[in-house]
Amino acid sequence: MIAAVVLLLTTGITRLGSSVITSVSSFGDFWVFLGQVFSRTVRPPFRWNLLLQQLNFIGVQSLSVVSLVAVFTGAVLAVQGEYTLSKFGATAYTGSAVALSLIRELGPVLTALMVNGRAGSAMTAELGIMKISEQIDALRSMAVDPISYLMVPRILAGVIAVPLLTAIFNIVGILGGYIVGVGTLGLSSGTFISQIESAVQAVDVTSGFVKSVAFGFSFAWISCYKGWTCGFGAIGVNRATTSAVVTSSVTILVLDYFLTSILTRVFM
Amino acid sequence: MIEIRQISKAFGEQQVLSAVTLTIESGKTTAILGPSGTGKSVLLKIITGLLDSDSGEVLIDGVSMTKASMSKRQELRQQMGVLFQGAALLDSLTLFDNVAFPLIERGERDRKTVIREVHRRLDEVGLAEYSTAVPGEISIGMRKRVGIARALITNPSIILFDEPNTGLDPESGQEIYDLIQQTQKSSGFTGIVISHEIPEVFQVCDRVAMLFKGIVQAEGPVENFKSESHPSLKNPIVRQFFRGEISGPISIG
Repeated sequence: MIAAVVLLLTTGITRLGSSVITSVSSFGDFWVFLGQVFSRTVRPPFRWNLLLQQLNFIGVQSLSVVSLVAVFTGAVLAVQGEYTLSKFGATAYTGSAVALSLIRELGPVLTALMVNGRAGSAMTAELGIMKISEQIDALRSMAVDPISYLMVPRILAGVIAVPLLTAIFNIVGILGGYIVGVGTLGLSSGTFISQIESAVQAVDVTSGFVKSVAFGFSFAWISCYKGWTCGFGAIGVNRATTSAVVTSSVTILVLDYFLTSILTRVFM
Repeated sequence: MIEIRQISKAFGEQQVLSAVTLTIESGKTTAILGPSGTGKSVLLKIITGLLDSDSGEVLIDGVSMTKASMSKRQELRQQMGVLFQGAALLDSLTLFDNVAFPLIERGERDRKTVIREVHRRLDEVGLAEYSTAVPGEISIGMRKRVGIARALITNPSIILFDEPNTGLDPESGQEIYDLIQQTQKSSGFTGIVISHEIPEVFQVCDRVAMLFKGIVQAEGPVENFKSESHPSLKNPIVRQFFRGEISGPISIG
C-alpha cells in the first residue's frame, strides 16, 4: 500500500517536473526563435519579393473580410450608440462614439483577430506542412536559411499589413456607422461628421496605430513559431494550427488590455 | 571524401546510431543499406549537417561538418545536393522555379543561363514539358525526377539520395536508378544512396555499407555482397538481409 502511494507520488512529481521543463524550454525556444528572426531581419539577403508576396497574402487578400466586418461593426456601433446616448439626450454624439470606439479599440482588435483567423492559421499550416514534408530541410540542404527565407517576410508583412488594414477598417467602419446613423436612424449628417472631427485627436489615432503594430507582430510571430515547431503528421499540423489561432487570439486580447492601460496613461 | 567517425545519436532513450564509422570514397557511389528504422536517414541528416550528432565527427574533404559554425555548414552544403525521400519540392513554386532555386540562391543572376541550365536538367530527367506545373500536379515518381534535377543543377561534388525509389512502382523505381547511374557517370559526383532495396541498388553503387541497430555490420565493394561465399556474409544479420531470408536475427518489431 505504501509502495503504491510512493510510486503514485513519484510518477506525479516526475510528470509535473517533466511538463515544467517542457514549458520552460518551449518558452525559451520561443524567444530564441524571435532573436533569430531579428538577427536575419537586419542582415542580407533582403527578400523583397517574398515580402511583397506575404503583404499580398496577409494584407490584400484580407481586405474583403476586414471591410465586411468593419461595415457591420460600424453599423452596430451606430445603433447601440444612438440607443444608449438617447437615454441622456445626447444622440448628437453618436458619430464621435462610433469613431472613437473604432479608432481606439475595435479597429485594431477586430482587424488583428480577423487577420489571425484568416492568415495566421494558414501560415502555421503552410509552415507545418513544409516542415513535415522536409521542405524546410531541403532549404537548409540548399544552403538557404529557412528563417530568413520563410519567417522574416511573414513577420514583417504582419507588422506592416495589420496597421494598414486597421486604417481601412476604421474608415469603412465609420462609413458603416454613418450610413446607418444618418440613413436609418435619422441623425444629422453634418452633426455626425463634425462630432467626429472634434472628438478624434491625434493621440487616439496614434494609440490605435501602436496597438495594431503590436497585434500584427504578435500574431505573425506566434503563427510562424507554431509552424516552425509543428509536430509530426496531420495531427501535428492540426494541433499547431489550433494552438496558433488560440494563442494569438488570447495574446491579442491580453495585450490589448495592457497596451490600452499604458497608452492611456502615456497620452493623458 | 567523406569520413564518418564514431557517430552516435540517440532520441531520448532510443539509441539510433552507435559509433558509426565509415569512409565514402570520392567519385564513387556508396549505398547505405539496412532494414527500416535502423538510422539510415538520421545518418544522412548528420552528414548534411541537418541534425547534430551526440558524439563523433563527419569530415567533408577534411573539413568537419559536425563542428562547423552555421555559416561554414552553409558553405559545405554548397558542395552537396540532396534528393529527399518525398522529393521535398517547394509546393508554392513551379517545377522550373524549384530546379532554378539553388542556382539563383547561389547568385546566378543571368536569366538566360538560368533558363538554359534548368531546361537542360529538366530535359535530362524527361520533364521539360512540365516546367510550368507545380509539384502537386505531378506524380511522386516525377517529383523525384525533378528532385534529382534540382540536386544536380549546381553541379555538386556530393549527392545524397534518401530512399530514391520508395513509394514508386518497379518501373519508375528502375527509371530513377537508371537516372542516378547515368548522371553519376556524366558528372562523376560522390554519391550516397540510402536504401533497403536489394538487389536494385547494387546497379548504382560501387560500395555497400550495411547498417543495423545503429551499427555498421558490414562494408565493402558491392561484389562482396553479390557473391555467395564472401566472409562478410558469415555475419547472420548480413546474410539474412542480403539473402532476403525470413528467419534470422532481423525481426520485424
